[in-house]
Order: sequence, then structure tokens, then C-alpha cells
Amino acid sequence: MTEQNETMDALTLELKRGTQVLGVLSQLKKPMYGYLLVEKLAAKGMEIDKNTLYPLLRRLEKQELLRSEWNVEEARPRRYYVISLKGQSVLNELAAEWDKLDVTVRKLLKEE
Amino acid sequence: MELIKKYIYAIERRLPRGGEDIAKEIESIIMDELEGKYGAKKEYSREEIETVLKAMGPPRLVAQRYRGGSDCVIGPALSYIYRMVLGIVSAATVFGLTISYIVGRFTATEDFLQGLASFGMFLGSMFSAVLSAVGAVTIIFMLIERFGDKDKLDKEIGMDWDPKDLPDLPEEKERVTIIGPIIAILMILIWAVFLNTYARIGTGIFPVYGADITILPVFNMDVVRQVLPVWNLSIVVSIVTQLILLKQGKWTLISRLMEILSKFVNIMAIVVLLNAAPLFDISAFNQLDPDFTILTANFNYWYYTGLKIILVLTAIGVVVEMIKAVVKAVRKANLG
Repeated sequence: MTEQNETMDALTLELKRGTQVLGVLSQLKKPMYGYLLVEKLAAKGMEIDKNTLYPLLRRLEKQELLRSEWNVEEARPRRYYVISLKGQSVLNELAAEWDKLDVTVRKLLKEE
Repeated sequence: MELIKKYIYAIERRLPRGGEDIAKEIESIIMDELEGKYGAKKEYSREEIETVLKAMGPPRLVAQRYRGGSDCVIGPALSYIYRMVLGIVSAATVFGLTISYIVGRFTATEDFLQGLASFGMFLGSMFSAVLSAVGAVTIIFMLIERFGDKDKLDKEIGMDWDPKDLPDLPEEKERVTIIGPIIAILMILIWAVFLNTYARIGTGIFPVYGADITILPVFNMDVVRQVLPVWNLSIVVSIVTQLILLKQGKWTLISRLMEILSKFVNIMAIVVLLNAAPLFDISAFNQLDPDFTILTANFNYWYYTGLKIILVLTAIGVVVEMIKAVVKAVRKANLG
């Protein structure tokens, strides 16, 4: 892998990292377990490393942005996550910030 | 499945209390991964399980991701000062023990093999002393990292800092570099070891007519016992002064007051000496040369006169420091 590719990969990862929380919160309006969430995000174009997502879900739950509970009715017990009221409020604010950021970055790129 | 249980156990033992729930979730995730990759099956092969576990990562790393926070024993806010203190303490330990060993050689009466054994023991002591010093410093800083004021630590290196918190720019004369106090502390510690080792031995090696060398008492040990605690107090005050200078990077009212205190303690030591017999055991020097007896007659006079001169000069020094401190304080009050 060339040095430029490595640099590009690292910078792209940094860019994507900033949108992960927004992406995760936006997809948890209905209860979902981790593996399914990874698949759903990937299908919509957001590739997120599973090893990053699962601890992230725990962290967001600790911050009271998500709620979770074990579902033991299926073949195997699974932990389902869903956005909380506080999480919904934060999601709305993050989405507004994202719109502003989008406008700003487009303006900056146009000037170049 | 045994392999999965081993993996989960390796992660769970690295998690804090309440980690059983996380472990249960990780097991569920592993099963989802296996099902997603190889389809829903009753049993998965060892190779299939190994592939999924390898993709998840080593247990230590997985546990670290779930623990969150910093895994640092001593964080970035303290690491600079930790390295500095470690350097000072290690150097002081090495220098101090070396001087103590060298001084001990003056009075040792050992043959070559015994001397070699002593040197070996000295190296062993130095090694364990340095390890103990490093361990003690590390434990103290670990405790500060764990229980210290996180907000204050974050202000040192984090984005919480405020330009208003920057200290005033000191005048050129009042500035203190980092290396100055460090060297001063090292020198003081070396002096402290020398003083407390050599003064307690109280002897020196001298050439004598008609013989090779002889060991004679230099100090009057009764006087040493009286004045040594005061000298040690002076050493402690000097070290504290240098530590304050190191922390603040300039001369301030506090460091000037400590300097005055140091001089007061020196005055106390001189007063003790003035009221005691001579510190030096001059009678032993008669053995060096018979002509010495002429000089020893005047010794007491010059010894006590010298002490009084030092006392006066030190007292003048105290007054000068006090005036300096008052002038600076008044000037700062007028400007502020």
C-alpha cells in the first residue's frame, strides 16, 4: 500500500468517525440488535467496524441516549437497543449541526 | 463452543464489576457473526469459530474497548513532571549512595577481597535503592492520576485551559529556568548525604611524619550532634525553596520568604555553634606536626570571631532579602 493510500485511509476514517453517532442514533428509532444495525448501516452506505459499533452502543446507553433490554423470546437471547427521549433530542440537534456543516463545507470547497 | 467460552472468560476477567452483562452480549454478538457468515447451524467448526474470534480481536483489546476511558497509569498531564521527578530522584539516589560509599572507604580497614565484596554490596544496594525510588515515585504519581483533581489536570493540557490563567511575565532578573532548581536540588541532596555521613563519622585521613597515613578525628561529635538537626532543617527548607522555584518558574513572595526562612535557620545554626565548644577537634592535629600547637592556641579566637562575622553577614543578608521582598510586593500592589 502506498504512503498516499495509507494517509488517505487514515483521513477518511477520521472523517467518517465524526458521523458515526449521528448515523447510529438515526437508525435506532425502532429496537434493533447490534449485528442487524451493522448490516442496515452498511446497506445505506455507512460501513462501520463491528468492533467499534458494539462498544459505541454501550457508551451511548451510558450517556442515556439509548435504552436497551435483553430479548429472550427468540432462538437466542439478544440485546436490543432503541433511541431514548434524550437521544431523540440530541439527534435533532446533531442533525441541525450536520446541515450547517454541510453548507459550510460546500461553501469552502466551492471557493477553492 | 469451548473455544467461545474460553474467549469470553478471557475478556470478562479484564472487565470491571458488572462485566457479566457485557460478556453475555459479546457471546450473543459472536453467535450473530457465526450465523451471518456461515448460516444458522447447531454446531460450528473450530475453524469457523477461530475465524470469527480472530476478526473480533484479542481479548485484551476487546475488553479495553468496552472499558473506555484512558488506560494510562500516568496520563499526559502528569507525564512530563513524572519523568522530571523520576530523573531527579534517581540521580540523587545514585549520587548520594556513591558519596556515602566513597566516604565510608576513608575509614574502612579491609583487605582487597573484603573491599571487592563491599563494592559488590554497594552495587547491589544502589540497584535496589534506585528500583525502590522509581517504584515509590511511580506509585505516588499513579495515586495522583487516580484520585487527583481531574479538572485541574485537564486545565494543564486540555482545551479547558484559559489564557487568563497564564502566569504574569516575570522580569528578566526574576526568571528561573527549569534546570537551575533541579541542579540546586541535586547539589543540596549530595551535600545532605555528605554532611550526614561524614559528620557522623567525624574523621579524616591525614599524612603524619614518620608514618604513612593516620585517621584522626576532625569534628567534635558532641557539637555535631547539637548542630546537625539545625543543618538538616536548613537543607529541608532549601529543597522546598527550590521546589517552589521549579513549580513557579520565577522568584515570588513565597520563594523570597522561604529564602529568608533559610537564612534564619542558618542563623540558628551559627547561634548553636557560638554557644558550643569548637566544631573542629583541633587537639588531634597536634599529632600531625608539633609546630601545630602554636596555631591551636589562637584557633579558638579565630574560630569564634569567624562565626560572629558569618552571623553578621547572614543577618545582613536576611535584612536585604526582607527589603527586596517588601519593595517587590509594594511595586506589584501599585501596578496591580
